Amino acid sequence: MSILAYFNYPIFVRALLASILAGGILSLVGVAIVVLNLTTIRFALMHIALLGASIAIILSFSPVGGAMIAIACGAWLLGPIADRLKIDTALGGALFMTGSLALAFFLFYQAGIPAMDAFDVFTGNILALTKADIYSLAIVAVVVLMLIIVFYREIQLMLYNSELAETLGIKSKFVRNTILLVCGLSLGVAMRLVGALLVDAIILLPALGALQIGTGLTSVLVATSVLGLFSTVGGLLLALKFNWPLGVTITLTGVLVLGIVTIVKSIINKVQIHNRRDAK
Amino acid sequence: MDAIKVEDLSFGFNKQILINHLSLSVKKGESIAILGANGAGKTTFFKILLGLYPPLTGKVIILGREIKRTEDRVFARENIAYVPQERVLGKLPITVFEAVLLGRYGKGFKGLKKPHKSDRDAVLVALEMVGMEKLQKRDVADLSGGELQRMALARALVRDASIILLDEPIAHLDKSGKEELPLLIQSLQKEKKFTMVTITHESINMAFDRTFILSGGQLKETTNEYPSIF
Repeated sequence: MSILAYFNYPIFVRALLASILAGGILSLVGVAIVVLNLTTIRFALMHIALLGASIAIILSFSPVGGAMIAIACGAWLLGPIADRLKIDTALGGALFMTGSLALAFFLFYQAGIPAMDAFDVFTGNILALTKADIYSLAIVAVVVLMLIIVFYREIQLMLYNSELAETLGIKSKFVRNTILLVCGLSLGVAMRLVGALLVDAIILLPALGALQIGTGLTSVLVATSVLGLFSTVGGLLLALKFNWPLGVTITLTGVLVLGIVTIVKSIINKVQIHNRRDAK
Repeated sequence: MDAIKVEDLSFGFNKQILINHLSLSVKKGESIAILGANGAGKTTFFKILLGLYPPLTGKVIILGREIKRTEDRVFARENIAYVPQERVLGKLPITVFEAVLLGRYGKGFKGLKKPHKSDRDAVLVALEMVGMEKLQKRDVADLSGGELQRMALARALVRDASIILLDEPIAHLDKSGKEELPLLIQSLQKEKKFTMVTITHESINMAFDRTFILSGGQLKETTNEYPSIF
């Protein structure tokens, strides 16, 4: 079947749309996660999602909805609680992770929740996305884009030097908490595409590649978006063409793209060093 | 009118008093030095002047305006440029030009108000003043310690502030940097006539109008060229 023929299937159109939104826009939050060293935070948010899903099951509510609300609350509270306890945000994340995991298992035991139902929030399938999933993705993507457009300089200052940002009048803790919230929501909706374990392919890998080749925030964001699209849309098309598993193919495409960027950057660096030596 | 007037100022963290009933007046165009050991509260003092920490007691008056409310703090930040010990903290690639342009934040641009041509022109002028116009496209991560400090100075100059606070300007510089940067700072201060407060824990090759020692949370003026802290 040709690629064009896939457009007759609504599930493919939804999957393609989700790939574009996630790879092209949600991946941008990865820049903040990598630069602000928030990589451990995403584990905390995933476990908070598990707790939210468990509570939602007890209340006969959508586990995915419960997970998203829990991620939003956790992401927003993480920074202020770490500040109150005078600990690093990453350490606060570890506290949230173990605490929410223990609470979730306590609920499994006490309320007799089938654990696998709650763990379902960790799984994702890009071909099983509903219209509601696409709307959630689109809303979070618009929020991410709007924040970047409106607060570009504030974000640039925070990512460059948060101490300097504070002396110039930026409420750095508020900006950090907003970044955590948006990262949490992006992770939450991106998990629906490839699952929790492979979500890094969408959120982290494009940013890691872009930070190697970008010369400033704008070029890093553009490169992240392009690499993200290569990973998600490329992975989706490859998986369909060769009948490979979707989540894994998207992830491997992301790894391949990052590998190519790293090798090319390394060659460019070597050539530049060689040219400088020659010039001397 | 004094550029900076501090009356009976006290401040501390966790019941530990760092600034203890301190008073100081700095005239417009004056250049003073505050010497003190590490942990004496020098940077904390600067952050109080910038309105980042509220005093426990006393008053901070900048250019005749007491710094109490949010709008006063905005006023303080508009009129004071802070030059921190510049370090490359993050992983974000940023050019020297962009890093200096950030100094115009709150004055030339903020939120939806984007940088204007005048902001960019001001950056070029400031880079020229510190002799870094040729390095404007270089990544900040590739700068030497001395270049980083000169860039931080340019970022303070683009704020067009009448008061400049220098926080350990020669710390982590090599021998030539320790000799050259103070001369540059001094010539800029004479040319632009801004009020300047320099804090340092080491001997610095600059002539100041007055020199103080910060110890036990209080300032004591010294006439000794090489006070006992060294």
